[in-house]
Amino acid sequence: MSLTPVMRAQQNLIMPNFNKPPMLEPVIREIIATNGGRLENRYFFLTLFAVLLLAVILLWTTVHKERQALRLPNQLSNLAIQLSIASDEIVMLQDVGLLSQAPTLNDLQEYEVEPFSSQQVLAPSENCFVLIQQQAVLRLIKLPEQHWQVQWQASVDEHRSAHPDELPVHDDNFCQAGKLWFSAAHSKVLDI
Amino acid sequence: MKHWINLFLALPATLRIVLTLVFTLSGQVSAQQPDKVLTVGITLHPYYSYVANILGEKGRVLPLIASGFNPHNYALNPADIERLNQLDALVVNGIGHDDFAMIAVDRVKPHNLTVIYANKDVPLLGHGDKYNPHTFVSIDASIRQVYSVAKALGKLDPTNAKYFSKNAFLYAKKLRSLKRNIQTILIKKDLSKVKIASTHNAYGYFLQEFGLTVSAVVEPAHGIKPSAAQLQKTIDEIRKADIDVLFTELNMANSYIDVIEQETGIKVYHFSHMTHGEYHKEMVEQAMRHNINKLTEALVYAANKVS
Repeated sequence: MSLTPVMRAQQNLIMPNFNKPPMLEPVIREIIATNGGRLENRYFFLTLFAVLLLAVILLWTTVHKERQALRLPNQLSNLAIQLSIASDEIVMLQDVGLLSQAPTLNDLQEYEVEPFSSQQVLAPSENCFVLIQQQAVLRLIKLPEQHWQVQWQASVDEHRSAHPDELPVHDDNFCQAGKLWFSAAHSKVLDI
Repeated sequence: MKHWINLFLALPATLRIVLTLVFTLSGQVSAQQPDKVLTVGITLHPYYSYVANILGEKGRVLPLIASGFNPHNYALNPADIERLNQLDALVVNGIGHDDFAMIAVDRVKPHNLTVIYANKDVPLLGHGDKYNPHTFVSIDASIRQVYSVAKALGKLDPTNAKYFSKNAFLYAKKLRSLKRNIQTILIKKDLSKVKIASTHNAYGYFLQEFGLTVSAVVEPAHGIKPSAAQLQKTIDEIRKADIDVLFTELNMANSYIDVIEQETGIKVYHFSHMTHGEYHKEMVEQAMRHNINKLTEALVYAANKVS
């Protein structure tokens, strides 16, 4: 018995028979109840809204607070500039021997260093000068192993912010290092 | 000897400081050997004055752009970039008034160039992330910048550091003395009710050092004229806020200012913005003197008007 080779048509050459009637096969249909859809949509959007609201609140409280904390109030800019100038002038006067390593308020006033000669300044401890203003507290301080710095604190206790006369003059808290004190210099804000 | 010490102690404190600084530091400087002098580039006119006064004979100041161009919107050309490569240091504003230089330095990356940020120690005015870059139109902020620049130059040229420091101190003293007259006049005036407007926000630092704030700013941005609608709004605001004086720029033709003056009856005074004309050592002193005279004139007028 000899086998006759059969040529098989390539699959892509077989044309569909459009004349053949469509096959009638049983179709399974799943009917989904629609009466709960509205409720589901509501829950979905409420959850979405709650997540977004939470995200916005978290962003606002963290970023906004951080920015506010880093920003010296505009009204205090000039006073902070004067204190910053004073920090350099104190060092110069110390270099030439006119000021001691721990200058007093009287020394600074005698040499007409601004703003000490025109503003009410407290000197709670050595190398620490504090100015209480309505918007914030400013200080010129030389912490151990550091240069003179102008720093400010956004908020102090209510009883302290009202008037300088009511303040305890020798409050050492004003002269401690701490995270609540921010540098007034621009470089500290932008990391130059 | 004791007689001389007593005589010295009898002198006023400021004179004692100056004499001590001059004698102490000039002795140290004269003992040193002359060395290669610094070539320091600057981007703005006031920085030419600062650096020229700090360096004295011990360095050379080179403006990055020729006088007569507006640094707000300048673009560097190849000759300017060639100049960048000659510099040991470049003094920049760095907070928005000389962006052209910042871009150029970033692109060219010149060898051995130290960029000195004049404003790095200045507590700045601003809102949000935006800073007012006009620190040079103020005496105190200028002094702050002079000291920062002198310190940075001293690090680059340690042999002359004391000399730069002394020059900075004397220059600061000269600038500060410009304020004395106006302070004596203003101390007698009640300025609490005086309301001020300015054409653009260049004078915030200057006015703040005299305890003044700007109630309205007219121009949308520096050198940009307000539209007819904006102008009308400004006129309405000036009338509503009862502004007493308007400060505008000396070297900029602002025809709309005449309209505001006619419509509101407001008195207009011109301040120097310090970014025009030739570069020279005395420029800041002269411009500050002009601004202080104009401010005194304006405040005396306004104080009499509101009282």
